[in-house]
Amino acid sequence: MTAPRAVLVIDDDPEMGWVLASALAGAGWGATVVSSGAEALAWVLAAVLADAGWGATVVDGGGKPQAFLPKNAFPLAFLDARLPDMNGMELARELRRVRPGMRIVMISGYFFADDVEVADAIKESRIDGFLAKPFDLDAISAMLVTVPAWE
Amino acid sequence: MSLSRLDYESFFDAIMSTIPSSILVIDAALTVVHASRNFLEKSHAARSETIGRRLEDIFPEAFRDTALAQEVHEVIRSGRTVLRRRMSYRAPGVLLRIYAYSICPLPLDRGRSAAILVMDDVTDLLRLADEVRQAQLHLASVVESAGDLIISTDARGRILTWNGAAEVACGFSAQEARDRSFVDLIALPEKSEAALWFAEIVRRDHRRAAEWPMIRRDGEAIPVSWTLSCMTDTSGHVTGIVVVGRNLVEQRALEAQIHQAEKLAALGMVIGGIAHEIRNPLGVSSAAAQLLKRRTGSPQMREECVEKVIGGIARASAVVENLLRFARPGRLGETVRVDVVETLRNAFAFASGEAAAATTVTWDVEEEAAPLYAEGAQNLIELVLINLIANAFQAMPGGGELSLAVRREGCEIVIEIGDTGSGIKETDLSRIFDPFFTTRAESRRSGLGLALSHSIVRQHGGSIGVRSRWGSGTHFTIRLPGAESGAKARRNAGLRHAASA
Ligand SMILES: Nc1ncnc2c1ncn2[C@@H]1O[C@H](COP(=O)(O)OP(=O)(O)OP(=O)(O)O)[C@@H](O)[C@H]1O
Ligand SMILES: [Mg+2]
Repeated sequence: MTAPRAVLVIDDDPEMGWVLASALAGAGWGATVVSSGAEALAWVLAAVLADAGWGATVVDGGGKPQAFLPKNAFPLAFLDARLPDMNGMELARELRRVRPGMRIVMISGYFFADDVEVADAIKESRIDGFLAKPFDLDAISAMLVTVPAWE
Repeated sequence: MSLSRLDYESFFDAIMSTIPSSILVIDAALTVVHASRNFLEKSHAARSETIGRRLEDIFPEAFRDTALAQEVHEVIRSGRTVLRRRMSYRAPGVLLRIYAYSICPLPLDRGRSAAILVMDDVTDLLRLADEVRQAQLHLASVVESAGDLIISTDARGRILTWNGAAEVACGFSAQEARDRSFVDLIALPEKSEAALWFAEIVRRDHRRAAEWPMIRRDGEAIPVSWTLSCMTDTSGHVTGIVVVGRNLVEQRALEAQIHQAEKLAALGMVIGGIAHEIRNPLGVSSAAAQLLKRRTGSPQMREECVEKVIGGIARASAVVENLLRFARPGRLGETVRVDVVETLRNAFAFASGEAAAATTVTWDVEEEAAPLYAEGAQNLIELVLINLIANAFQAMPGGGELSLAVRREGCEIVIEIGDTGSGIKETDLSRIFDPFFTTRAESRRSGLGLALSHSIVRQHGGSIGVRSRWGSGTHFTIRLPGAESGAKARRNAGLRHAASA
C-alpha cells in the first residue's frame, strides 16, 4: 500500500492544524502541518528536489529527520493569511516562484470571500482558491477534487 | 531806505524774476504790460515779442479755448482774486502739461486796473502725488485682498482699520469694527491674556504671537492664530499695533477630517482584528463539530473533537471578554495595598519565558524602609506588567537590556520598563494603545496587550506613557496612585468615567 497523498497545511494555530489534518484524513489524505513561513518553504523546497528525482529529507531544528518525501508530494497547500514570520500573501508568492505547479488555497479569518485583496490574488493567480474561517469540511474536500491525479 | 523812495519798477522786476513762477501783468484791454523772466524762458519768446501784445496772441493755440482771458477780464472788472485754478496745455510733440494759476487784481494809476497772472507748471508735482496715491491704493488692495485678517489699532488697542478677510471671518464691517477695542473681540478665557499682551507689547517685546478664539457677530467663537507687532515712529515711539490673524477654521476642519479618517482606519483594523481573533477559534470549533457529525473516526478522536469544539468557543469568548474589559472598564471591586516591587518581580518571572538568551536585566528599586504600595487589584497590575515586560522581550529577539525601576514620586508610585529593542516607529507611536494594533504577525499576538494595560491603569486612576526611538529602544512609564491616595484618585477616575458616559 502506498502512503496517502499529502497536503501541506501552513497555520500557526495548532488547533487549526489538528482539525484540518483530521478532516484531510477523513478524506483519505495525509497532511504535514507547519506553523511558519520558513518551515513551509523548507518543505516545499524538499518537494521540488523530490520532484526532480533527488531524495530529500526534511530535518527539524535539531537535525532529526522529519520525513522522506516521495515524488509529487504536496500537490496542494492550505495557507493561513497571518504567520509569525511573514504574511500569507508574501509566502504564496514565494511558494509560486519555487514550485509553480503546486495549488495554493488560502484559509483565513481575516478576509471575507469576495474581499478585493483576495479577488485580486485569485485573478492574478497568486493563489488558486480561498476559504473563509469557519469553513465547511465539504469545501475542503471540493478543493481536493481539483488536484491533478498522480502521473 | 524808505519805501517812498523805492524804485517800484526795479523792485517789481526783482521780485518777478526771483519767484520761480511765470508772471504776467495784463491790463483791462487784455494787453500784456509786463512778463517775468520765467515766463519768457518757458515760452521761448523775447520780451519785445510779448509786451504790448494781447493775451491770446502770446499763448499757443491750445490755450485759446480756455476761459483764461475771460477770467482775467472778470478779475479786473470785479477786483476779486481767483486762486489756484488749473488748466492743462497740450502742444503737438509735447507731453501734457498742467498749470496751476492765480489771478489777482492790480489797481493802476488814474483809476485804471490790471491783473497779475501767476502760473506754475505743476505737472511733475501732480504726477508725483498720483504715484504716491497709486502706491497707497496698491498697498490698500494688498491688505484688502489678503487672505489673513489684517487689523490695525492705536497704541491702546482701538481698531483703526479692518480688512475684508476680517470682515468675512468676523461678520462686522470695517465701520462697525472701527473704534471698538480689539480685546473685546477675543472670547472669554483668553480675553484677559489678550488685554495683558496689548498692555505689555507696547512697553516690551513689540512682537508676539498667540492663538485666541475670536467672537463672531453671531456669537460663535472661531479659532484664530494672531501675530501682534508694533508700529513705531522714527523716534521709536509706538504709534499703533498691527494685528495679523490667520483664520484656523478650515485648517481645523481639515484636521478633523484627517482625524476622522484615522479613526476609521483604526476602526477598520479593530474590526479586522476581531474577525481574525474570533473566526480562528470558531473555525476550529466548527470543523471539529463537522467531524463529529460525520460519525467516523475512533472514540478517542471524537473525544478530541469535543474538546476542540469547547476550546474554540472558550477562546472566542475570551477575546470578546477582553474587548469588553477594554471598552467598559468597570469600577474596581475590592482594592488592596499592592506591593509593587513584589508584583513586578512576579510579572518578570512570568514573562521571562519570552526572553532571548542574550538578555540582561537591571533593577533599580529605591531602597526604602517600607515597601512601595499602590492601591488596586494585584492581579490586574500584574497583568499590565506582564504585558509590558513581554512586549519588551519580544522587541529584543536577539537579546538586549531590560531595565526595571520602581520609585515613589509624591503620592504616586512610578514604574519604568525600558528595553534596548526595535523601538517604535513614530507613525505607530500614536496607535500602539489601539486595540488590535500589532506589528507582529503571529496569530497569538492579538494586539490587545497595550490596549488592555492602558484601560487597567486608567481604571486605577493612574497613567501610562511611552518614549521610543525607532532602532534604539522603548521606555514605558506607569504611574499608579500610592496606597494612601489611591481611593481618592480612583473616585475621580470613576467620576470622569460617569461624566463621559
Ligand atoms: N517594548 C516595545 N518595543 C517595541 N515595540 C513595542 C513595544 N511594546 C509594544 N510595541 C509595539 O506595539 C504593538 C502593540 O503592542 P501590544 O502589546 O498591544 O500588542 P502585541 O504585543 O503585538 O500583541 P499581544 O500583546 O496581544 O500579544 C506591538 O505590536 C509593537 O509593535
Ligand atoms: Mg503585547
